[in-house]
Amino acid sequence: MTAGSGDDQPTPWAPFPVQDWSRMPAAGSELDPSPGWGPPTGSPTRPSHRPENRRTALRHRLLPPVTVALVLVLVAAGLGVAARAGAGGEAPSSDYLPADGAAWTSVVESTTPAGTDRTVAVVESARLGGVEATQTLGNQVGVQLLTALGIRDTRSPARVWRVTSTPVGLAGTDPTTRPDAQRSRFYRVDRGVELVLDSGPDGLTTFDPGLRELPAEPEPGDRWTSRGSAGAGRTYTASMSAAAAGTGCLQVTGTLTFAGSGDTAPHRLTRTWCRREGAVQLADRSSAAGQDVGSTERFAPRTALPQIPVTATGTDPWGDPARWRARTLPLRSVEGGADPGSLGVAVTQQSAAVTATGLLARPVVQGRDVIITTPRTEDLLLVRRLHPGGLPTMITALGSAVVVATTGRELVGYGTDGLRRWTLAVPDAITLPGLAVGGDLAVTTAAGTVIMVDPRTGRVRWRHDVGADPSAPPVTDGAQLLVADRSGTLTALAVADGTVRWTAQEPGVSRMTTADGLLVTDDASTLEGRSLADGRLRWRWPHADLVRSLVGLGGTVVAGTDRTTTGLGLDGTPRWTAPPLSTAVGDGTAVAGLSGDALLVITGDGRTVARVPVAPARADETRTLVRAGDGVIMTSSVFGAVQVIT
Amino acid sequence: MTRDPAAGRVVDRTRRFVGVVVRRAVVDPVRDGRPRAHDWPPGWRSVVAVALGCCVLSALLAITSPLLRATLPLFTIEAQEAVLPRATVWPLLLSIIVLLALVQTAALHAPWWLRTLGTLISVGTLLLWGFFGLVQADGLARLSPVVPLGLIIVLLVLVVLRAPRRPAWWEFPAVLAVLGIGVAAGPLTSGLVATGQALGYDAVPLLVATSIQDSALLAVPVMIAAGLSVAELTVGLTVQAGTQAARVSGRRWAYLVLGAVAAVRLTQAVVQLLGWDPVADGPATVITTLAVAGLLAGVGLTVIRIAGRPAAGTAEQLPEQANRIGLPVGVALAGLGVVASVVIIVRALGVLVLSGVTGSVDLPGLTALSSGSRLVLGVVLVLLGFRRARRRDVRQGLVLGLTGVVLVGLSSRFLTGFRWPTTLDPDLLNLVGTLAVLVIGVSAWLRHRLTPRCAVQLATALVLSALFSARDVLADPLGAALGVSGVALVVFGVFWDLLTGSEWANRSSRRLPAASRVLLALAKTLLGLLVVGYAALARSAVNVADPDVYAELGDLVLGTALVAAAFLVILRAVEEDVPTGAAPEPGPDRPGSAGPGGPDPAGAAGRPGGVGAV
Repeated sequence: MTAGSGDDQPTPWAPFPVQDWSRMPAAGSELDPSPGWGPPTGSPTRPSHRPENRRTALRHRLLPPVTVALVLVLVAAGLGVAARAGAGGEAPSSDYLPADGAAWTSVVESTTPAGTDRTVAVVESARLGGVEATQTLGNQVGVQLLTALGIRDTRSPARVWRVTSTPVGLAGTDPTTRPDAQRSRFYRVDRGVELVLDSGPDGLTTFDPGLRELPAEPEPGDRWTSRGSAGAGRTYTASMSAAAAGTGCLQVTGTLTFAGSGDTAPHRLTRTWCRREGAVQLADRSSAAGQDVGSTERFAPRTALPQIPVTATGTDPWGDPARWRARTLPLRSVEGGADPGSLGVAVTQQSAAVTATGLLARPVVQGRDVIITTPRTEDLLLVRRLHPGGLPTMITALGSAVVVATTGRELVGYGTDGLRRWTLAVPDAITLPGLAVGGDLAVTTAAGTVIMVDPRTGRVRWRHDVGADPSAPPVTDGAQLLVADRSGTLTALAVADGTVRWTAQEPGVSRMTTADGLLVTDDASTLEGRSLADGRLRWRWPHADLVRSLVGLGGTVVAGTDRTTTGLGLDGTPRWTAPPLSTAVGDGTAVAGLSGDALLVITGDGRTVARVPVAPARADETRTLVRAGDGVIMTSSVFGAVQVIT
Repeated sequence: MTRDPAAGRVVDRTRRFVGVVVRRAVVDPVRDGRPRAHDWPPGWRSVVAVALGCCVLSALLAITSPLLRATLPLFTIEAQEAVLPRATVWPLLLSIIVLLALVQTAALHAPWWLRTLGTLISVGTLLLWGFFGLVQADGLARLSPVVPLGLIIVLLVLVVLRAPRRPAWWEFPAVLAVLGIGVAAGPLTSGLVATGQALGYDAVPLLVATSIQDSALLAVPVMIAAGLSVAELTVGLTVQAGTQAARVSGRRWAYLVLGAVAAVRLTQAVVQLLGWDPVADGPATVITTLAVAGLLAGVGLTVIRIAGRPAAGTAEQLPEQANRIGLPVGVALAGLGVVASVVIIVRALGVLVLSGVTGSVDLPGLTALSSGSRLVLGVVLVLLGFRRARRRDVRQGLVLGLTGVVLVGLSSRFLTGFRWPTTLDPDLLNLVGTLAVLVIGVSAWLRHRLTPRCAVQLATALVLSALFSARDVLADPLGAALGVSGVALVVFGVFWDLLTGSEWANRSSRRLPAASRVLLALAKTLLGLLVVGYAALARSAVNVADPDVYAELGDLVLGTALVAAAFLVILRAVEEDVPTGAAPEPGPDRPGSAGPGGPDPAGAAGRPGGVGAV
């Protein structure tokens, strides 16, 4: 029997069977098992060692590692190619575009025969896929954009740059008065920079094919023309040329002429494109009745924006839940002054937020926008489209402030007027819901950093590192912020300055709530009540089912499991039971939660005061309740429609 | 400069003492348990090197996850609420392909059922990636089914042709190429990437992340076994130190050591008692813990009695025995979790079908089912322990029986119908153990039987108790630094398990050669590290399989049982006044001397695969 060999090592031998040569004493040692004579000649089990030259031996030794390494490299390279297979790249002219999520202030001066009007706007840049760009548009306008982009299937290489301008001070912070106040311009950017859709309060224009603003590889001295349709019964012809305009910038000038209905006077266009900044200046002049009219838009220094009204969040009890009714509201959008068009976007489930004025803000899966909608009698109308950059991972509303966390490791603050107010860099992604504490916002990053932010300005009031990633959304009693992390530590931080009041060991916390001086935690098998004053454990309540909802109501803690809902007293004693609640919100005196296809409202003493039938859920649907004034809003993971229960 | 001869001797003895302890507790288990290039076909080292490289890559991703998350662009998987660095998806995907290739290559020369399973996994992967996105395929993409179907045929031909032959190194690159082409060709031909880009999502990373999350359940046993590593190492080092120290027991300093260790442990206990929580450590917890302590002692002594062999000399082998049952117990725990979930799903479906007839139906909760199934497993392990004892295997009997007792203790709420908050408190259990040591020590002293050897053995038990008390710090020293709890423990545990628990992979049998076994051992390791790496990178609050949780479960169940077994054996040795070590080393004060076991050049007497197996 021969000992096994690894690679081409000389095979040792012994006159007795050896299972494992590596365990034998080394050759030449005192216990060397080698007998001092060679193996029997002609042994059928011993491989013959034919003399081979060094080159052959080297080849035999190197062949396996080289082949394995080569195949590994080829597979890795193949994956790299596959990752980009069919991906529509942007043209070199995209170097003149700002990044996704970039924002700036612009000043627009419009000259009309009546005079000159000056408006300031906050502009946001979005770099999107072709189909993606249509996701938050009404169906009709979306189809127009798809047509103008030439998109016939979902594998189109078309890429879009969207520029959204939100006027400052147009209607205070109430966007519902002007749902179409934002102006959005869509440019196709995979074969140059071409304006394909311009939608705003003044109307909607579609250029098909697009009005070429920059060729694919723009250079000073380039000249180009473009022509096509510009809406129903209109055509356009444009002729432009580029010239150098300082370092990294191009001056583009030309004329644009419309034919057909409406304005047919030639427009003199002037743009200054700078690398990674976009068109820092745009002018569109024409003559009307012998008078020079048009508009000029240019970058402006940061302008002071109106303060976002943020008040300490109050919790007024619900009025009469017994009179609540559920209404399913379809999502609609107004574009360019047209009638509201239906909108069917997939909305992320992680979070939805309701502002003080009852607006509902939600992140959109495709398009990476955050949409602000207003519930109306017959629909849910999209009033603002926000694009913080990156993918939204968390959204919270305080008063009239909407704060969005993104995968760009940023917190971005908006007013409900759609104006971006501030951006704050954070150490890691934020996926757990933010928490309103007084007039401030507490967030926890995945790196374990707790940050208290002023939502008006984005100023950090304090930050504290708890040392590990949080395991449950934080809760507060107004004076302390309670954070549970995955190293099993509960930390109570003073709301005022972030100092540690106390810590306690409590592994596996997945839910928390507060109730009248008590912190209640759930670790999937036990509810534990702790004193908020010093963190000492007061009681434990074992449960056999997973807790799906946990709400504190003054003197009662309501825990909904798969099989039942239990009301516990502050001493941890079960007081009453009710049907199971899968998800629930409270108003301080009662809890509203989903139980099958109905919303139940249960008071602190266990009475069910309302049972509101809701639309049956789909098998793959996840629903979330958000408290909204005198009622609740139920959002769905399936499509944009919501059920408002008031 | 002259050296003080006395000081020099002390330094030499200390160095040799530490050297012997480390060698026997760390080096020997690694030497005996690591995969060895034994009975491998030529070129197999290259395959092993690639697998190890992917293991190291996954471990590095886990360890450096805070840095990667802080610097690389992130993306989110909405359905899983996970956010992870986009660039790390590609090394993860490459590791997945290597993992699949390892399993498939190993399965080529495995028993029919394993060969079928491995082939099904590979074919499933090719189908998943090859046909993903074909719904909207047109043009050239209509041809895309040809690629995965062709690759599946190639794979099946390879399986049929190679199964009856000896393993060859080129099989791995061939399988790797087939799987790599299949995974890469899917997005290439189906337009998956273009569709994702147009619609605004990262299609391939999404598929990778979903694949890892879906396979995370398979890694649960690996993580549970990894949780044992710290206890294994701690017990090994402590018992070895005690064994070596006991050999120089003819000194009075043994009593000094015992006094010092007792003082430290008592201080720990006083600190623990000062922080006594009347709620957390209330009557239900105390009663449960005392009952478990009694059961541990009762089952342990019963095993020793049934075995009819002295247990005292077995302490050194206990970590190895615990290591052997770590993975099977992990598989059983994970499997029971799956069974519990299936029961709930089946009953829920039944409720859906019958709800119109029966009205409300009381569904069992997942917690209740998991707890109940753990109770059953605990009882089965205790019975298995008795069975091993009947076969005179006192070491494995002890480890199995005491693991069963700990599982029963963890399921105590099930026995009370979830009415009482009964909890097994390991710290309280440790206090009971310390108390037992002190009682036995005082008893021996009063009877004038506290020999220096007994004193060292009691000190060993107290050191074990003190280390057990500080296990959180020992288990996760890097957790706070990394900002993600448990990663260091699991990464270390998975590698430790590979290095010390792969002895089975060095054996060859007619149905499963060593070449296949080593690939399976590496695949198991890579799977565990992949899931750990993904969990650390994603930092999701809602993780399908949180490695930290399962590693802690392994530490609690297997680690507590191991420490209890070591405790029992040491106290038994004190009672019988015999050494705890079976094969003493040449002592620092008696160079070249041999212990009762005689010379043991490999230091592995009694271990399978050692010289004794020649």
